[in-house]
Amino acid sequence: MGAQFLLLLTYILIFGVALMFVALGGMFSERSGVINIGLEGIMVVGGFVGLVTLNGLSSTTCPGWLIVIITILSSIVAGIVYSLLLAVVCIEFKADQTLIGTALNLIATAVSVIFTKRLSEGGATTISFANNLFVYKFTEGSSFSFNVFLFIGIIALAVSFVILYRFRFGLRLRACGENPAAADSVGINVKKYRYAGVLISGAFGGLGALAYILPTATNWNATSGVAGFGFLALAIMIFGQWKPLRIGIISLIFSLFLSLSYVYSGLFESIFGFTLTAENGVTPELFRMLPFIASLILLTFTSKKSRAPKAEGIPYDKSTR
Amino acid sequence: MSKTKDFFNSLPAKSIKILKSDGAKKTYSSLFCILVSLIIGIIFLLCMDAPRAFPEFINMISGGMTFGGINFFAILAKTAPLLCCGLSIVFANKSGMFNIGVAGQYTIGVFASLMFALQFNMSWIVCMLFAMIFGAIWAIIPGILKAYCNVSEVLSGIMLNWVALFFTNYSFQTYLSDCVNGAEGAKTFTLFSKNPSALLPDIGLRASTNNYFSIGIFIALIAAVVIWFLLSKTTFGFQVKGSGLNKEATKYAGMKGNRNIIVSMAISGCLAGLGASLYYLAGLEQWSVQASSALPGLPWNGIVVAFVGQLSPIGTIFASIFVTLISHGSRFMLQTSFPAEISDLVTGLIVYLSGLSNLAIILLNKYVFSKKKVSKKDCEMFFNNKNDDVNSNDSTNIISKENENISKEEKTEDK
Repeated sequence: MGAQFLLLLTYILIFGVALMFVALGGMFSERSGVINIGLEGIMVVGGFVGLVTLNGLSSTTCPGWLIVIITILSSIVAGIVYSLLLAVVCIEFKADQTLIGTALNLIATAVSVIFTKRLSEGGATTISFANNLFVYKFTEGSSFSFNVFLFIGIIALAVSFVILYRFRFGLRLRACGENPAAADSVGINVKKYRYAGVLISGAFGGLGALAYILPTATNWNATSGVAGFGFLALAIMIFGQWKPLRIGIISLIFSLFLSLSYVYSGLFESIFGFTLTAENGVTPELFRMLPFIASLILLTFTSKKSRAPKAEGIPYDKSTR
Repeated sequence: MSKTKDFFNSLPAKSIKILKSDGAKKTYSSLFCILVSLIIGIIFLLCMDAPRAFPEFINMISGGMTFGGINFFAILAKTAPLLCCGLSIVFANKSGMFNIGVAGQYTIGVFASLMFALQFNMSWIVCMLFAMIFGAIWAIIPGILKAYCNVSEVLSGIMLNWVALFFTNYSFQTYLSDCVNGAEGAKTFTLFSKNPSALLPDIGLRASTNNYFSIGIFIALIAAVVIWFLLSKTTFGFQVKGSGLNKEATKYAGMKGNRNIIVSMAISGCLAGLGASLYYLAGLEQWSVQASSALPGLPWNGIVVAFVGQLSPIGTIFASIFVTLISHGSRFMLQTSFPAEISDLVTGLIVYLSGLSNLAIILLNKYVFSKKKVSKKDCEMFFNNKNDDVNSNDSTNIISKENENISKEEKTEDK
């Protein structure tokens, strides 16, 4: 029984950290005033590039710690570059942010499937990889494991909090999301801060993709991408009311639902002594549905008093000042 | 550029008027999006296998088609559901809602049509009606949440997409497991084997067209005409468009804005459900129960065709034919060199560029249509006129202002 709970804890930490990365990314983007629906696509691209880099490096004689660092950096860079597609069009040309985000999601899946098929033998859409460099255990055979992203996550949460509330950069970023005209009138370059917000979200998106893909499996199917993870992160960001610490806590709650879909049968068997199958009316889909239903219900009750950044989704136009 | 301008101005006055009309300008910007996306597609093909790129590309955009051949009917059959999904987006967009939940409404439509076809052995018309009702219910939820609880329809729609997908798979795995053919790797039974009465009628043409022909395309075309009529000829359509343009103003004029939003979402979901039934009741494919942790791709292409069709029901017809052409044709490329997802890339790029389509109109105005040398004015107009919400009426505003300017110029020149 203890082993099953440790497994549950492992999954909660994996998904919690991954969701937190992406939600923090969304937070930076929306705090600067740009809605980033394209986070799902950014994750797919970031994850794909990270996995390809990892596979490329693992055949070389590169030391393990360097492989870890380069893989993570490549994911982050890929996320930033891909989010530039959103940033340029929405900030410079004032395009519809929702539409462009949707387009980014479509393009990301297409591109990653195309390249996966080209890279693999015989046109398979899955990439296999080894994750032993990223996942660690205290003792051999223990069901609890943790990964490198846990540490990065704790640091990222602390840094995000400090930057957003204590640094000049964060204060200005928030000003651009609340009232860009006022920010502009005191000489803040709104465009620059919005670029910064979107690019930070791209970096977090790429990082979150690796944190989700690497520890859970040893192969990744490009056609299913990250299975709505980016969208879930957006919901977490809203319940977290665009505040880093709340986002951290709520990610853990949401990841509990997600983790249950992976470990429910073993957990249930160890407690009650019989297995749940499709004949009993329980499948993983039931648990995978839960976080989305929960978000919907919470959205209903919190939206009236939601404290969203006031200028989010509205392209800044100097002439309306 | 001055040569194109001279050539353009040398045309007869009547044709210039047609070429400068709003509709024509919207067509140009759509064509611009398509052209640029196709060029990027070709570049991708060239990078993969340069010598074979061009013949295979022609294979893709022709859809492997000969008139009256099997692929012709296949494209007709696949256009029908896509057109319905496109209309769904168009209608919701007119009331100011971005119905990103179309994928969920489509999925729940699949659930309803297959449940009534395979579990309850109903005939096709019953299945189709229930698919529409279920789709409408699924779309009403974000409508109500938007109208009364101020929840963004984009977010609630996305959540409902995934709920619909997992709910459908859950249902077929448990209490509807009779519909699933375990021997075939957890796909639903074919309608041919279990309940042929649920197949769409075929006027006796199904056997000769490799099971592709059915009346689906006619149903979809009728839907397009009905939506066009509803939007442009009825009071309800006027109210819907009004609440899309300015909710407060319509409220002031005594229209029920909230009711309009909910009803138009219901119609939108209805269309998505109809699309699902047209695809699955035509027997084109079986729903795969186990493996699908990704939403079906067809309704996302509905967003593509709606924006390429410039959010008009008639334009959507042509756009959906085009998108079906390339997505069907991409399978005829040499798959070892060119993955079929090239077509998804092209359609994704089209959406991306249609976010910029106003820019195309401005460029046209600047370089082709204007008689005077206009340098910065147009661009300033483009940037200054964009307000909170970017939707189609912005571009029409710009265009109409442009037209006023142009006509003023013409008058002064006449004097």
